[in-house]
Parts: sequence; structure tokens; C-alpha cells
Amino acid sequence: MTQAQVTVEPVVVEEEFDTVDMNINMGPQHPSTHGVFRMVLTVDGEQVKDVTSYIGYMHRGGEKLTENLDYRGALGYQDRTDYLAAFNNEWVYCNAIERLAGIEAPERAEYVRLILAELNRILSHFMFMGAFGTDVGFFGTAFTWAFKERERIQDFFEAVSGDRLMYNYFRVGGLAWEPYPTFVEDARWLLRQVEAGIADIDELMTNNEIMISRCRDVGRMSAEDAISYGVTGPLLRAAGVPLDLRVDEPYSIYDRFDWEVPTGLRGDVYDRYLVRLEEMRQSVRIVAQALDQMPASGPIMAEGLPKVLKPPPGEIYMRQENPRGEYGIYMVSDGSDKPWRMKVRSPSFHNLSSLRHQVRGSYIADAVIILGSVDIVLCEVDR
Amino acid sequence: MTSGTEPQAKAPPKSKRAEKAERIKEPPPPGGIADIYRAALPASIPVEAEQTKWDVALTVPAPQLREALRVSREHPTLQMDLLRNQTAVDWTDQGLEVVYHLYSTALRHAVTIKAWVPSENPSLPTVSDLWRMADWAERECREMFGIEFEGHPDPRNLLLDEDFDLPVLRKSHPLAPIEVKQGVDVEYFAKEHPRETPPVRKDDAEGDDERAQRIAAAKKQAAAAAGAPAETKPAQELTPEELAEKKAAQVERVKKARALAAAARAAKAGGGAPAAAKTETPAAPIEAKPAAPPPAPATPAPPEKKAATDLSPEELAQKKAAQAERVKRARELAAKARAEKAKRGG
Repeated sequence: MTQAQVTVEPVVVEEEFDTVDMNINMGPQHPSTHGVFRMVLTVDGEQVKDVTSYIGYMHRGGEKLTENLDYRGALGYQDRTDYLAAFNNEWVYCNAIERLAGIEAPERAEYVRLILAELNRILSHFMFMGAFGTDVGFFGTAFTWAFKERERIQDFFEAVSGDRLMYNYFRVGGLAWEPYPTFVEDARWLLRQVEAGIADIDELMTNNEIMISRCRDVGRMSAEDAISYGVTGPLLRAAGVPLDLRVDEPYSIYDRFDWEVPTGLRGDVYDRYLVRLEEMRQSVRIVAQALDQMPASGPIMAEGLPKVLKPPPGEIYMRQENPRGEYGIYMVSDGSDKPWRMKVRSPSFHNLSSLRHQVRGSYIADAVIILGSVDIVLCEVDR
Repeated sequence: MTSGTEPQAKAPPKSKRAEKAERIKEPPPPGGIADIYRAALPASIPVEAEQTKWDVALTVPAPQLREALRVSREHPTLQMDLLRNQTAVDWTDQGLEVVYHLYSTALRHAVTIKAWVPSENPSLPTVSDLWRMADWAERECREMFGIEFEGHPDPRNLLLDEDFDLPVLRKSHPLAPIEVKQGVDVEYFAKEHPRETPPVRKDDAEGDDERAQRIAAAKKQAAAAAGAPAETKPAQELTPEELAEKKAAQVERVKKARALAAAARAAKAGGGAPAAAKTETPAAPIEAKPAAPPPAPATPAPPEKKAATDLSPEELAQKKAAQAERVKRARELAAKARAEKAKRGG
């Protein structure tokens, strides 16, 4: 055996080679911008030097509309901000009015709300897994596997509320109607399916070669930067800050369950995926405990509510942990039947504002992954 | 607790809406965040504290707002490192209330900082250098309420159009119907586009007239050049004799056509019997047709229809009466049918 002689040509690096920066427009109609979002990338070759975001294509003036409707009438608009977490949004809005008006929802209604909101979190994260898998490069596979479970949850929500996406099931002071008779049994069955689905996704994606090589150390953001940009939710926890409003500013009945807040170490795209995956498992834990604790019967609506709701003058900044982060509603009442001011603090809006910080210096292909890992819902960004 | 807010002091008489919003401000519990703030802030910044439904809200004078926010961020007993929300509330004639919601991720406490600015030319210093989150939040606040944030690095519109400069979330901006373009001043819009004015301009009509005349003249010229016959003249230009002649010819043509049509009808009714005799009208086109059967003797020929212009006044009246009768009968029948239908349906 003679060893072949291999000669390696030295790579010529031209130091004096000048490049010209180029502006590339991405969106608003682009498959990987996850909605009507436009960014103008200033690139030097494949490297992104700067990025300018353009939002507002879906601005519908939801705040102005809510200020011109009575408290209950504007409930339907709240589904339409973050359409992947409609139960969570409704819950924040109802809670804000309940705190303003001093209404207390019955315990059974709180349990049903919590179960549905946590299942909605799982649904939203499944959606992320599917869409993110497509961004990263296993086109279709992750999407189909994730959507199998998402569809089961969606069917359950449809059985409960009568709608697939815009549920409009929560009411100020409780629920619209009694959950159907086999609610608890179906939810238990659903949890078993979801657990298996999470394991599937875990096996498919976590140790996947494509996943690791494309996501590790991409879009790293330090804890200080994340907090400065107002980033919340899985992005902030992936950066190592264990801030979860369910624990830190507990609302509703979250103090009755035993669960943990997962955090990441590096704050890169891969950590965000891992945090979301673990959050799904924790949500399953919460729902399982809630199903055990939930009273079998009882009222689902607060009693003695007036026909026209007129909360006393006052204000509240109600915030809850949505799948994408802190969803806040700042509501000011002047004692009339309409909110004097209603402002939605949407997590996607502030998470997206940190995009420039994350994308600068990366490659164009990575910019797509970083944007996917932020998990934006453009309806919520623009409101 | 001194207010020290200028807009409140010199505010004009309050509106009914604003009076309603006046409320007894609940003081926060002692030993809470309000007291920490009083200790941390320099004595030159007066603080007015109020307990909201969840947080404690502190109102500071607008000129000292930036200093108060900077202390919030940097003071070791406060450490408000997360600006979670920033917005404004329009209290119409009382001015605008700018609201900052702060949270400390290290000490896990929250607070709301407020400041009043006047409605006309409101302006505040930016805090986008303290929290980068304020970059987008202030851009949104600026376009929605018209508050200028001095020193903002990039004060472009964020959600609205680039050249849109009306504060749409102010109470003075109406929630306009869809026909009115959102953001356009409604009064101005009505002045510029009055609905009663017909959309015709005088110069357009004149232009049309001129053009029509030109075309008519050109046509006349062309006809004269080609030596066209007199019939192509317009009716107004004919002499009475010519007109009568023309009318007679037209009547003749109509008569011929009617006779032909009657013959064709008869042929159809006769079932295609062999033609025994030709009709009296030897018109050229009929010869091409196969048969024109004799009129059936059993059925009396329908009275020849006269043109309306040829009828005598009595005949005309008769005809009119018959028509009225027919219409009446048809209406009766229809009413009957409707009644029956209703009965069956009921």
C-alpha cells in the first residue's frame, strides 16, 4: 500500500478585496417571516451587518376599538391578538376587569380556565416546534408530528367552546357555559396523548444533527440585554433568568401546584427550544394536578353580576404569563360602561424589538432561525 | 404630598367625563415600595403615591421624570431593571398621563411611575438609553398620542404609515365610520368632499359640446364629398313633402312585412301543407322560403292591425280600454294565485 501524496493548494486571501454593503428586503410576504413582517437586511456577502424591522401591516386599532365598546362587548377582540393563545388572552382581559370591578370567579371556573390556558400553552409550543422545524431544515417532518397533537388539543377546545381558534369562552366572572360532561375524562386522555407527542418531538429534534449544528450558539443574548429589551417568556428564561409570572407574581390559583420553571444556560436558539420543550412537560404536570383538584360540581359564574358592568374608577396593570411571555393589559376605568383606556402589552412586540440586537453579525440563514426562535405572532405585535 | 404637576394646577374647568374620573385616591400601605422610593429619591422630587388595584403608582413632576426613572434603575434598593410597559392616558382637558410600569427581576417588586404633560405640544425626555425596550414603546406612544420624546434616536412611526401625524389614540380623534378615511380630520374631509356637489365640471361640458360640433361638421363635409343621397339628411332638415314621402314609404314597408309575417304564421298553423297559391305580395325574400299556405278559411282572419298613428280617437280609446281590462284581469288572477298560495302555505 502506497500512501497517496496529497498536495494542498494554499488558500489565497485577498486582503485588499473590497465589498459593498447591500440592502435585501425580506417580506412582508415571505414564508419565513411568520406573518406580515418586513425586515431590511444590510448584508456584506452572507453576513448581516444591520437589520431594520417594519411592522404595523396588521394594525387594527384594537385598543381604540375596545375603548369604544362596553367591557363585555370587547371580549371577542382579545382572541384576535395572539391567535395561538386565545384562552390566555381572554383570561388576562377577564381577570383585569374582575380585579377592577371586584368580582371573584368561582373556584371551579378558575380550574377550568387554568386547564384550558395551560393546554393552550402546550398547543402554542407544538405550533412553535412545527414551524421552527421547518425553519431549521427538516421540512415537513416536524410540522406533521407536531400538528398531530396540536390537532387533538384543537378538537378538545372545539368540543369545549364550539370554536377552533377564536374560542370566546371565558366571561367576566366565570365561563360562558358548563364544560361538557366528559370534560375531565377527555382532558386526562388528551394529556396522555400529549405526553407521548412531546416524547416524539423530543426524540425527533433534541439530538438531531441538523438541529444542533444549526442552532447551537446562534442568536445568543445575555440576560442583561434581554431584560433591557423587555424580553420575557421562554426567550428570557433561556437566557438564564427564571422569571415566570406564574411564580413571581402569582395570580389565580397557580400557588396550589407543584412544578418547576425551566431555564437555559447560554441564551441561544437551541436553549429556547429546550426551554419550550420542558415548559410543555411542566404544563402537563400542572394540568394533571388541576384535573385531580378540580371540584366535580359547583357554580361556573359569579353571582349577582350587573347587566351593565361599570367598574368603579381605578386602574390596573394585569399581567399574566402567556406562551410568548408577559401579556399585560393596562386598563383604566372612569366609572362608565366603557374602559377609558385599554393598552395591550404584547410579549411578541417587545421580543421582536430585540431582533436587531440578535441578528447583527450573524448570517442570513441564521437570521431566519433567530426570527423563528423568537416565535412571534404578528397579530399580537401589531394589535 | 405635594403634587407639583403644572398641568393640573392651571387646568381649565373640568369636563363632565373628567369629573367622573376624579376619585378618592387610596394611599398605599406603609412600609411598601412607596416608602422605599421616598427614601431613595432625592428630596427635590416630590412623590404622590396611590394604591391601584395591584401596584403602587407614584406620580412625579414631568421635568424630574427622567431623574426618577434613572434612580429607579440604578438605586440598590430599587433595581428596576425591567421596563415592562410604557404608555399614555388621554384625560382630555387635564392633559396626558404618561405611565411607566417597572419591575425588578432581582428584588421581585413592581411599581408604576406616572407624569403629567399638557395636551398641547407634550414633550418628555427619552429613556431609551436606560432601557432599550423604550425605543419601540416611545415610538408607539409618539405616533398614538403625539408626545415627543426628546433625544430619541429614531423617532419614526412604528405601527402607522410613515407620513401619518395625527394622534389617533387621543380622545379627540373620533372612531370614524369606514367611509371616512381613518386619520383624516373629519371636518376637513367633509369640507374637501361635500356630498351634495355634483361631480360635473363646467369646462368638461363645454369641451364635449365643441367636440360634438366638430364631429358633425366633419361628417357633413364627408357626405357632401361622396355625393350622398338626400335621405341621409337628418329629419329636421327635410321639407314637408319629402317628409310625407318618406313616411308613406315607411308605412308601405311595414305593411309588406306584416303580410309576410301573417303568411308565415299561417304556414306554421297549416302544418306545412303544399303551397297552392302564392301570397299576393311578391316580395323577393319570400321566394326563397318553401311554402306559404292559403289562409285557413275556418278561422277568420284577424283584423288588420293599424299603426297607432293611423287610429281614430274612438278606436284609440277602445284599444286603451281593452288593454286596461286585460291588465285588470291579469292582476285579479295574480292576486287569486297569491291568496291560494298563502292559504296552502299557512
